[in-house]
Parts: sequence; structure tokens; C-alpha cells
Amino acid sequence: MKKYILKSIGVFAILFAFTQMANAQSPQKYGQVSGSFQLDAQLYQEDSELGITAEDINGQDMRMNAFGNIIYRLGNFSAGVRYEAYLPPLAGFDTRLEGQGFVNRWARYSTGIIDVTVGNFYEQFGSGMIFRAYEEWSLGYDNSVDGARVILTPMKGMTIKGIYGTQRFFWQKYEKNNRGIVRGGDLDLFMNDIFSGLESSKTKLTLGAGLISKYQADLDPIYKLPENVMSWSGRFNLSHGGFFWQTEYAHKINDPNAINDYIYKDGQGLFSSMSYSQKGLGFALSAKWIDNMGFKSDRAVTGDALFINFLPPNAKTHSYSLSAMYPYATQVNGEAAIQATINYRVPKKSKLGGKYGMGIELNFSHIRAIDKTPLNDSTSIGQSGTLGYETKFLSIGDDVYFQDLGIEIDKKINKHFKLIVSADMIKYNMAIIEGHLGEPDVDAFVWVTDLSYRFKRKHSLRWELSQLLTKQDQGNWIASTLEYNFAPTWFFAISDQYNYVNKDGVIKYTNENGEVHETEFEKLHYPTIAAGYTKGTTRVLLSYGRQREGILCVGGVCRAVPKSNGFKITITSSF
Amino acid sequence: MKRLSIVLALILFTGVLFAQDHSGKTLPEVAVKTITGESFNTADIDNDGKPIIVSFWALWCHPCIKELTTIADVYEDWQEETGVKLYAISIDDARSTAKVGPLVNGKGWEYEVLLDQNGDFKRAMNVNMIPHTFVLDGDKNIVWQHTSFAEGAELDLIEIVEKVANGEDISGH
Amino acid sequence: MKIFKILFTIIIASGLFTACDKIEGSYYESGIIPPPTTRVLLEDYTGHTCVACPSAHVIAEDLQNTYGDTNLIVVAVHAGTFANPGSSPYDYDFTTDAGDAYNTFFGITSYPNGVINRVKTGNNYFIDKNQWGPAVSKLLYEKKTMEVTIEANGNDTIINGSVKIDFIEGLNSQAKVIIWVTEDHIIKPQLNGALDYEHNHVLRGAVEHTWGYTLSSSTYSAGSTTSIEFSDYRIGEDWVMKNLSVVAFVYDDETKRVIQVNKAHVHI
Repeated sequence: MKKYILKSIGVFAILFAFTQMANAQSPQKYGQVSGSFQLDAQLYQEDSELGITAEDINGQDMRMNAFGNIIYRLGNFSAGVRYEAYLPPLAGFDTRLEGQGFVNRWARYSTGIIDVTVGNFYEQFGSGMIFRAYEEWSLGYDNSVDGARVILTPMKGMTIKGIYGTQRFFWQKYEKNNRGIVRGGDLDLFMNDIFSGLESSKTKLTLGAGLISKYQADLDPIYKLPENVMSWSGRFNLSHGGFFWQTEYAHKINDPNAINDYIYKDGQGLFSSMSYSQKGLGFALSAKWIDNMGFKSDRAVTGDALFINFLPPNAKTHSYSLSAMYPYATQVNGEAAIQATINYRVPKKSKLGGKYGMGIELNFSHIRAIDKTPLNDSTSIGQSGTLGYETKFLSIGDDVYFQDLGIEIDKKINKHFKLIVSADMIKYNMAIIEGHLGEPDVDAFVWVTDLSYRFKRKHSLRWELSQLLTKQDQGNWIASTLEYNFAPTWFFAISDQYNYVNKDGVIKYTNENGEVHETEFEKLHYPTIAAGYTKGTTRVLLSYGRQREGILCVGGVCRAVPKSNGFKITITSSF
Repeated sequence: MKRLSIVLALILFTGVLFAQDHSGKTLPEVAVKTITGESFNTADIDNDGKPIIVSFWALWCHPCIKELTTIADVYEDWQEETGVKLYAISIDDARSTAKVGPLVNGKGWEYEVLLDQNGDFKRAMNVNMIPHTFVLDGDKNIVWQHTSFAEGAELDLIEIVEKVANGEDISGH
Repeated sequence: MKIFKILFTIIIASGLFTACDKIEGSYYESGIIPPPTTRVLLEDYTGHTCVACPSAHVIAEDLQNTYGDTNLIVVAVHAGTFANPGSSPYDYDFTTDAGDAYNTFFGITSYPNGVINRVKTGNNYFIDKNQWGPAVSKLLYEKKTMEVTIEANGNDTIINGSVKIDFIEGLNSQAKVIIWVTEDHIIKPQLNGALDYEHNHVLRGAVEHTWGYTLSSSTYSAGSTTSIEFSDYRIGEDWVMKNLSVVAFVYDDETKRVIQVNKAHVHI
């Protein structure tokens, strides 16, 4: 105990010394220190209605996730450390996160021409289809690379990147053969800068290509596995006035792994996205086709850890609670997707727009399987230790994974009132997305109204009412939140989500085998009260109440949030 | 016990932060992209000696879009009064690159929009939560920052910008 | 033209990263597998409503086919969320007090999952099914430091028996002996399997102590022997005596690491 107190005082002293240094009057001489930290803690309570027993809590009624970052900068030199603590991790985070210590430390030197980082770094090639190392705190996701990175800019418009290292895997230190090594390079050419003739052209063109190779020893007694797996991609970005077009093609050679169930087929993917916009009108269309593109620096690992590449979903990220009930997660083993978005601003002083105008957003996304055919009569699709299956490039299969058709309207009614209304029709293939075999597709309709009322200069109320209607899963929901804001410091909110299922509380469905499943749900309320205080960059958020079971997704990576009841605190700050 | 001591250290530290001023910090040099796909170095964020607002946002962040929409309504007035320029930094990932332009134009925003696809600028600026807004003085020193948005918060922001434009001391904020 | 010089250099340099192995012909290891030097215990934490669990059984079976089922001893421990008896047809109770206790102790919350010789990798005892192969193949070729011999006799609904330990090398730490009863050929539904799925080497219970018998001494010299007798172990009502086996293993009390394991059919 004494040890920990001494340690914490030590940590505090270091932090304090750093901030004092940061406040020193001559940053040119001593450099600048900046940093940030966040602490999320929750006190878990038993709740017999939610089915949370003392056994579930298992003595760990208090859980905490926290991190602290410190960055030091002096001229061309910078360095930083990142500390994390999960004691133990909040419910729903990977239990392997439990522990505390410095996870990242790095030093970087950068001039106009060369930029060298040693230690941990985050990086992305193109759109990330072959390589993206990033971090997302709210998911407990961090696939940073520990090693070295060099970025060269030998001439204007040309960027060359090289990376070499191993990826973070919770708290496990890299040791020989306990996971793979990642190395790669990327070239990015902004043609308008490279060819002087194009400098003044309104058409802007960027070309790029990247290469990633993973080394992992073959220690498997059954399969003969490739120890070096290479992946490459080529891309372009083209823009002309309000027109923008981006395309990337990626290819990966044989990479039998736990995600594709040890098949030896090559993987490939294409992502293309196009948009046009002018004042008051915007249109975007994107398409994606991927086949067997799960790429990790350890072939045996499943889940979210150790991903080398990043394949974002072509679906809208919803931020209202009920709209976000059924989020899509990319199916790396194969999917074909399209998405279209239209933004239109009804002009001010028009009949529909009124005094302030009105914004309309239409969104449509549709994602389905790719067409896979068996190799021969004796091999089933995806059978381990074979090529797996055959598919034609850009083929489209029969299974629909996800669809979302939605509209969102925002309108300032007068000086006091602002209104946002949205409606979405969502089709969600639960069996595929959540891996719950035999569950039926969910067809849901969600509407939301969000009304802000500013009654004094800095005082406002916000009232949100939403409803989700579905005959599947857990049935219907209605939710409401009332929030009082005293800008920019205080906020108070009270909310309730009510899972009223349907009239008799029974969800019934017949599966493919003709078996009738009937589940009775208890109609449950999930009330919460919350308060927040913000001063500058420091924000303290307290809440108490029930949290519904759900899935939190950021950028296509998802984490299950279990239902809970209790007291929660978040402190976040940066300096 | 570990947990308690970490909480203790952080609470002590929060106290220090509440008391600290943010003078003397400048923007880090990080490569981001413009909407048209060109590389842009954040050291080139500039407004000829007039104040700058740097605001981090994303397509999925409702309060961010509210903040930028609210400011958009009065942006012209602000520019006339103080000469301020707003840089809106989108932290959306690669899939959304093509959608940022249409939203910005669809909403009719007049800001300088930059894309921080892999969060390099976000990390270098220590942004944990968005919206996170910075105010820079004429010498591009970070003089004020704030997270979250509620109706009326823009009034505080313009107050700060006005003071900065007039060269007044804002250490009381 | 500077640009072409740079591009040329890049193309040459990128050769550094292009290492790639294209596997042609057979995807299976063809080399002759040398006979293992010792035995390994693989605990397969599983459940009858767990979608991915049948694929773990397949991996365990592949490994047993490779190394022999007398060298790699697999025990299916039904525990946790997916093992709890649910609504029909998954209403059979496979769980055991011992299995629940190990599941909690090892901190297993996702299934399928494996514990191999109760060896810790990093902070955890459990290891993903896709890593079983390399882990098992490493442990099977470690030095054999002791031998365990099991004798088990079934009589109506009672099992009696003994476990004999021969110390090939000396032992200088406190060890314990866990004795389990397992059952093969249980035909019960398995999600993502079949309604008449065959469940094999299912843990039915621990004899006497969940965490085992404590050896009477903590030091044994090389060449010495000791043995543990057990009697009157009463089997469950629906267990089939001819399908039962006894699994016994010696482990280090401090590290929990398994030193030696063996399995024997119950003689009727």
C-alpha cells in the first residue's frame, strides 16, 4: 500500500514538474509540454430486474479505465509517453487489458525533408486498406506499432513512408515468435506539385501505392503456413472544383488465418468514393467490395486486436441512442456495399426554408454478401486447408447484411427554437453481424426529434424524444431525454429508455428449420440522471442509473456494452 | 489500492490544471489533408496576425455540427468585427473523406476545412473528446481552449476572440 | 529528372519489403512427426450453445490425430454462459462444480477457449483455439520428469482406483493430484453442430477435491514413487459406465502448471 502511495506521489510530482516547465516563460529555450488524461470509472450495483447478481459482479464492483499522455516539444524534436491503467477494465472491455503501466513511449525528429520516429507510432497508408495503426479509447482499441518510422519528402508533392515494427497486443511484450513483425512502405505523389505544368490546373491529382509485409514463423504442426505475407495497394485521388473522386485497390497473397478459417485464397478489395458539391447542395456516392481481407500481425488471433489494415463500413454512424441500436460492423471475409448521401440546404427566405433556411440529409446504404462458389463437389465453402472458395471480382451474393434508408432535417425555427428530426429504416442481419446463428433479420424503424430551446443568452433546454419499432430482437423502445445547459459550464440531464417490447411482451419467430422460438421479455425502464461540469478543457461527467445492453461502434470496430446499473464518473482534461 | 492511488494522483493533478494558464504554446507540425486531397502542414495554419479558431469535429458528432452550424450563422459578423478565421478539423476516417465536402457545402460553411484522417493532429493537440475548440492569438500562440458545446457557448467564444483581437489579457478565463 | 531517379530508388528499395511466401501444392505439413516425449493436457472450455465451439473440437481432434490421443489428452470442460442449461433443446446440464471453479479461476469469459497444461502465457492461462497447435507441439517435446499410471474399476455405479506416480527426476515443490471422471459418446444437441451431436471426453466431475489431493511430501528424490487411492466415487444417474474414463494429473501447487497427465478407461 505504501509503495503505491509513494508511486502515485512520484507520478504526480513528475506531472507537476512537467506542467511547471510548460509554464516557463520561454518555450523556445526549454520546449513545450502538453498532455491529456481521462479517467472513466464505474461502481456496479446488483439489479435483480436486469438480472445482474452479486455473482456477475464477482467482487469487482468498482472498475476503472484511465490514461495519461505527455508530449514534449522543442523545435524539431518531440517525445512522448502514454500511461494506461485498467483496474480492472470496465465491463465490456477486453479483460486482457487489466493492468497498468506505460504503453507508449516515442521520440521524433522532423525537419522539412526527413521525419524519423522511434518507439510507438500511429500511421496510415492511403485509406487504410492495407495498413492503419490507430487508437480508439472508447473501444479499448490500440494497434500502434512499436518500432521505427521514416517519412521522407525529397521534393515538393512527394511523400515516402517506411515503417518497421511490431503491434501492441494488450500488455504482452514482444518476444520471439509470439506474434508477427510488420514492415512496409508507401509512396504518395501529388501530381500538380511534381509536374510544374499542372501547378495552376483546377484539376488536382494524387497517385499513391503502398506495400506491407508481415513475418510470422510457422509453428503449426498441421498446416504449412506462409511465413511472409504481402499485401499491396494502389490508389488515386482526383478533384476538380466541387467534384472529388477517390479509389483504392488492395491485394493480399495467401494468408490462412483464424479469421478466414485457414483458407489459402488470395484476398482483394476495392473502395471507391465520389462526391460533388456546390453551395447548398452536396452528393456523395461510395462503393466497396472486399474478399478475404482480414489481415493481422498474428494469424491465430481473432477479435479486434492486432489488425494491420482497416476496412471501414459503408454505413452512416448514428449518434442518437436508439438510431445506433443496430450498427453495422464490416465483414472482412467478404461484402459488397454501396452508400449514397445527399445534403441539401433549402435557401433562407424561401417558402420551405423560412427565415433561416433548412437542412435536409438523405442517406442510403446497402450491404450484402459476395457470391462464393465451392471449389469442387467434395469441398465445402470456406473449408480449412483448401483454397476456400471461388469468387469473381465484384461479384454480389444473395444475402443482405445491412440496409439503412434515412432522412434528417434540421431547422432553426426562430431565435429560440431549433429542431432536428430524423427517421431511419434499418435492416440488420443479426446472424451475420453478431454471429448469433439462427436469429432472424431485424427490421427496425427509428424516429428522433431533438428540440433545443434557448430561453436566455446562455441558458438552454434540449428535449429529445425517439422511438424504435421492430417485431424482432427485443421489440419496441421509446426514449426521452431532457437536458438543461448553462453554457459553457454546467449541464444536467434526466433520461429514460423504455423497452416496452410490444403489447404482450413476447417476441416470436420461426427459423429456417421451421422451429418456432418464443421469448418473453420483461418490460424494463432504463432511467439515468447525469450532470456535467466543464471548465476550459477539463470536463467532469457524473451519471447514475441503468445502462442498456448495446453495441458501441467507432469506425466499424465494435464493442459490446453489457447492461449495468450504477454510478459512473468521467474526468477528462488536456493542457 | 493501485486504483485509489491513481485516482488520487489524477485528482491532485486536475487541481493543478484548473489553476494553470495556457500561454506560450504553439501549434505542432503535423501533416493533414485538404478536402481536395492535398497535403497540408498544420504549421501553415495562418491568418495574417489576426485571431484563429481551430475546432475539431466529425460527421458523427452532433454537438460539433451544432456548434459549427451556430457559428456559421454569425460567422460573417465575427469576421467583420475581429478578422477571425476558423479552421474546422474533421477527424473522420478515410471512408468519410468524400462526404466531408458535401456536408460542408451542403451546410454552407465558409470555414477552412482540413482532414485529420488518422488522428495525428488530434493526438498532437491532446484532443480527447470532440468538440474541442482552440483560440490562437495573432502570433499563433494557443491562448484558450474548451471542450463540449451547448447553446450559448459561442457567445463565450466570440468574447475571447474579441479580447484577443484587441490584444487584451484573457488569463481570467 | 529528379523524380525518375527517386522513383527508381524507391522501386529498388521496395524489394526489401516484398518478401512473400506463396504456398503451392499441399497445404498440410508433410514431414514425419517424431514421437512426443511426454503427455500434454488440453482443457477445451466449451458450451452447447456456443456457435464457434464445434470448430474447436475439430482442432483438438486434428491435433490428437497428429500426435496420438494417448499423448494429447483432451478434456471438454462445459462452463460459463454457453454451457448453462437454456431453453429447449439446449436444456441438458453439462456443467460441473469443478468445471465452474476452474472457469472462474482461469478468468475465462469467451468461448471456446483452451488451457494447455495450465501454463501461463503472458498474464493468462487461457489460449485461443488457433494457437493450440504451436502450444501443444512445443509442450509435447519437453522432458518427461515423471510418470503417472492410472488404475480404475467400475462396479455398478461406483468407481474405485489408484493413481501411481513415478518420479523420473526429483521434485522440490509442493504438488497436487487432480483426478477427473470424463465421459465419451454423449449424444446431446450442440448449437451450430447437430441435435444428435456427439460430445466426447466431457468432464463429469472431480474425484473428492476440485483442486486435488495434496502429495504427502514436498520433496521426492529421483526414482521414488508414491500413490493415491480413491474409492466409492458414485457416478451420475445418466452416465454410461462403459464410456467413462479417469484422467489424472500432477501439478505444481504454486504455478498450477501440469507436470504429468494420463488417462485410462474405467474397467468394468
